[in-house]
Amino acid sequence: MIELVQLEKHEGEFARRGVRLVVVSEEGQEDAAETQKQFPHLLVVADSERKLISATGVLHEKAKPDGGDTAAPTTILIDRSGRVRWLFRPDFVLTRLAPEALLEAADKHLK
Amino acid sequence: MDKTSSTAKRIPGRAALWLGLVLGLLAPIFYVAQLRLERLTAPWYMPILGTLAAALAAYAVFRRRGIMRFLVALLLILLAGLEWSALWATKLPPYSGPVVVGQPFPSFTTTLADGKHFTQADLAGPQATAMVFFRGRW
Repeated sequence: MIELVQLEKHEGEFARRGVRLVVVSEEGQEDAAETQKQFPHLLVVADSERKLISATGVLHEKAKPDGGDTAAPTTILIDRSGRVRWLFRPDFVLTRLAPEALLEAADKHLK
Repeated sequence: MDKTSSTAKRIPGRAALWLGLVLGLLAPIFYVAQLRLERLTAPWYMPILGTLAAALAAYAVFRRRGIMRFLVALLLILLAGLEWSALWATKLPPYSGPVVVGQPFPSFTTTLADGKHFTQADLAGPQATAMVFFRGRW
């Protein structure tokens, strides 16, 4: 969740660039609503049926502490026409893209 | 200079053992500090420091054998092994999914936190989108 805290803090900088932040996990409606309440400037997706996670191929099998599947940390930049402009997948689960790096990528790839 | 006390102070390998212990304990402390600073990067320094700590403890055992030294070295070797395997276990495979740069986003239908539908059509509009997949609240 630290990455969401960081994104929420930098929300204004994304808004100034005309970029909205959509955050996706396979948590259910109730948890997603809680996340949305906590991070009001992010658009929270409750992908409990993993339709978006499957469509994008970011499912990380057996990666939860209980052995369940979850989403691999991945960031995708999509332009105003709905085309993919950039994708970031870290080498390690522990690594997350810093907001500053995402802003830099947005400046570079979403012109 | 008292020769006896000088010899007592210079026990072979003692400095290496203590340095190994300190380094071995510092690695997890650094990681906690890293998380508190919200730096989300792979902590490569942990297994590297752990290995260095284990090597120093092994050197201390080599210089002078003793049950406590052996136990400390064994503990530090196990800790270094654990740190390497824990880091390796978090390795992600390279992305090989259907999302292709330059192509339209794949079609999907899912749900927002407020229960509304969200599809690929919602990605086109006045704003660009940064879509971030995260691992949930667990």
